[in-house]
Amino acid sequence: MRIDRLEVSGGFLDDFELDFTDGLNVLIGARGAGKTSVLELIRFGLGLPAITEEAGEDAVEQALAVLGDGAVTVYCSVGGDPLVFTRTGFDEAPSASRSYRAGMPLIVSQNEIEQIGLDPMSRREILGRLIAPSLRAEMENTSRAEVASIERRLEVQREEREEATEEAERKAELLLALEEAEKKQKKSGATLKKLEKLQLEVAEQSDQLGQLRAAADSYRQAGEGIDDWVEELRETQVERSLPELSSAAAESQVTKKLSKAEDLIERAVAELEAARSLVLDAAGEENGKATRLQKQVTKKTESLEKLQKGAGDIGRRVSALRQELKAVAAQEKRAKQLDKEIAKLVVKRDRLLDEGEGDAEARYAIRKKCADELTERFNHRIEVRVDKSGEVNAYEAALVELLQGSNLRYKNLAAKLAQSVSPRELAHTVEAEDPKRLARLCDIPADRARKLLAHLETHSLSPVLLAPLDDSVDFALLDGQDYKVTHDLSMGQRCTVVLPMLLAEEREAVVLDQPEDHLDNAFIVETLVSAIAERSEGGQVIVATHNANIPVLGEAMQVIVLASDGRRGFVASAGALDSDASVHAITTLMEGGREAFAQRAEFYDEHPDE
Amino acid sequence: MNDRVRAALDGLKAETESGRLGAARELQEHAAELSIEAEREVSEAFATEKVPWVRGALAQVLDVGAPPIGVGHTIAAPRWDEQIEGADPAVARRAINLSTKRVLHEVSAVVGRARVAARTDLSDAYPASETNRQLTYLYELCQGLRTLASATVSPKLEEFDLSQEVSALAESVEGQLLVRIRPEGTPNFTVRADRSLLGIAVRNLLVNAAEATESLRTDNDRVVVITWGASKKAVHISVIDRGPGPAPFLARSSGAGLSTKIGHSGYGLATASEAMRGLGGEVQLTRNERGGATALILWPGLP
Repeated sequence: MRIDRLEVSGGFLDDFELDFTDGLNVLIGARGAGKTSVLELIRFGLGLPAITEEAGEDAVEQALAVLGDGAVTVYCSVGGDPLVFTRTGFDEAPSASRSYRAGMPLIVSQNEIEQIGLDPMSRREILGRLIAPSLRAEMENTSRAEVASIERRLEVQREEREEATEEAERKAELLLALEEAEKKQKKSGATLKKLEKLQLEVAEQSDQLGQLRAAADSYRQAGEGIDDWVEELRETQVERSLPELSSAAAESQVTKKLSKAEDLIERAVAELEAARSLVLDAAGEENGKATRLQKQVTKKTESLEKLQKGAGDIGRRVSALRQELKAVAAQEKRAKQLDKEIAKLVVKRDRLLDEGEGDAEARYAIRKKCADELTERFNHRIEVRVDKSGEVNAYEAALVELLQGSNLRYKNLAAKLAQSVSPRELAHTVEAEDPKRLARLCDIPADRARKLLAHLETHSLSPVLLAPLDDSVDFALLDGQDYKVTHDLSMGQRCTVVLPMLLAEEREAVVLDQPEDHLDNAFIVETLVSAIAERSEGGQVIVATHNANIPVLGEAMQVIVLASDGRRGFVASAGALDSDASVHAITTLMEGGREAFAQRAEFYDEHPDE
Repeated sequence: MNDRVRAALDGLKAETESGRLGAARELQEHAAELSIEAEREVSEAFATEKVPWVRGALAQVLDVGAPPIGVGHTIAAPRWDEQIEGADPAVARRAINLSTKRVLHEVSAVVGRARVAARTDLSDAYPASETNRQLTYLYELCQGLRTLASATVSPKLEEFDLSQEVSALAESVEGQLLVRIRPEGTPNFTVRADRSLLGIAVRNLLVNAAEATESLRTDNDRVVVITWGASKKAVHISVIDRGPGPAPFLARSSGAGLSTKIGHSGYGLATASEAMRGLGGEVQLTRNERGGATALILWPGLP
């Protein structure tokens, strides 16, 4: 994407209009003239992020301070087609004149140049910008979601298998118990015969007891009947009273007869009572017999019940054990089935991981090719290094989280694991339950490896397997006797490495704010200017600078001179490098005036460098 | 070499990371029993491997043995005179020079005649014969001795532009081998040295690096970088390659005559070292963190 024009309305740069050319555009001007403001408004207008969040916030603050309640419009073109971005201070994001899918310009301030060197993600991003867009699409990896889904299923199935296996592990114990129970049941065969005999005896005696009780009952009932009779007779005797008769003779005869009747009644009562006594004796005898028989029956019944209970318990135990064994066999079958399903899922997961690995290999190959081309382009003075899956921070973080609560010193261990064992290798070692291998792989004592394995076995390894692993990118500078990577470089050396990398991108415009800070003029001439010069004519660069070498030796296509009256910044002039205005501005603003420049030249003439 | 080791060495060339990792783990199990040839294959794989876990495993394989040239370790290059204990260095060099010349005087003509006779006797069978192979090796030994004789002459110091000298040497070696040599150092850099002795040292180190590199798979790996500069006390020249690096046995051996390259006499490093001793300097060798080696020449060569 090329930046064609910038328009600002409102704020410090009110009515600002500036057209950019292809090639090198240099913004010069005294401090406070608005050079950085112009570049930050371009960044704000295009909605481009900074390298870090903090730098991004500062950049937005500066743009808003410059813009006030105004608006910025950035006119761009992609392959000749115009694309316009507009944004006010109130807008969350810029609005574009049409939808687009294109690489955006790169805008980098001096602080960001240093940060790129130190930040692994930014280094990868910078290399990524140099990869052809058609190849970038090939770098996408799509199998992660499917792997995640399989891992979730594996987690469920492993839990289920563990439960089934625990149940199945009871089989030996149950078989032993059944064997013992069946032995007892066999022994109880003799008891059963005894039980049958006793049952018969109890049944017979119970019959007899019934008869005796019935007999005693009938005697008792007969006795009660006699009692009633006696009672009736006695009542008859007591209640019968006659009135006095008029004839004494008659009365005497009647009385005589009555007296005889009473005697007869008395005798009848006596006979009845004698009869009752006989009946009661007989009933007593029968009851006695029944009581004796009852005792026998009770005793036998108790024995019978005891025998029956024993036989019943062992039968029920045998039956229950057989049922349990059936259930255990089912669990055993289930565990085997789950083993197969888990193995299938692991194969499927590994195939997907293989595919992912293939994608990662392809992605690495693309990056490596680009890195090698850049190294060659920089004549091996700067070496662009790519390590496949070398960015293990996410993997290490997943390990730290996984190992929390393990009672191991997990931070050091996680770092060691992340450096020495691949996630797949770790998963396979845990799945194989192999503590010796784990100890060897991580170079840790066997005891520690066992503890580690025990912890890992009880936790899902999904976060570890799915932790994004990307290639690491580093830049190394040939310094003295050997190469030094960015981390070991000075601030200036980091810029020495990063700037040529940024400028190697020719498809999109590159905007740099005062890249000369921290750099000596020798580097600016040898590296920065030559990197700018090496860009093809269409490769647009916009640089704000105080260093005259950049516009002059870089053969700027346009020199834009900015000025300010203290309240408002504006374009004092914009033209070719050799235009009067440009020459005047460069000699006065950058070289300190013609007289100063002439004095320096005279000094150099007098003191030639031999 | 047992079958498992052979299969593992082949596995180091696998396309997939897991394939190479599996092979490297297998080699860890057999690290103590690897032959010199196997160590070289592991070193080559290490030089080009860019997956941290695989590289870590290979580094462990290379670190087995005592005392090893582990990754990042530096040793002084072996010398011809290191077994002449207590001798005055100048006298030792003179002795080497005289004895080498005497041996060459006696042997050169014999070797030459033997080669001619063998070619005549074996006729068409000569090129592919073992006789040819052994005679060629003998011839290379003579060449090595010839260079050594040159490396032990008394130095004649002069001032010259090192950048031009190195560029010319690089161009010459680049023409001989299918390796790109990239000179990258301070231009117009005047040093004080014996041009011939320094040339012997630089050429030998460049040839060593180029030969170590030329078997690598990709063009991008077949690159040797040579750089130069100076500290307050010494001038340095570094020859950096991406080859297999110094083999572990180098540190365990007594010096000259051993090579990581099969079929080579292995005199180059010792001869370079001898040449630099004549200039009061030395040669150091480092196995680089990312594979390959850096040979460093140091001598008090500031004008």
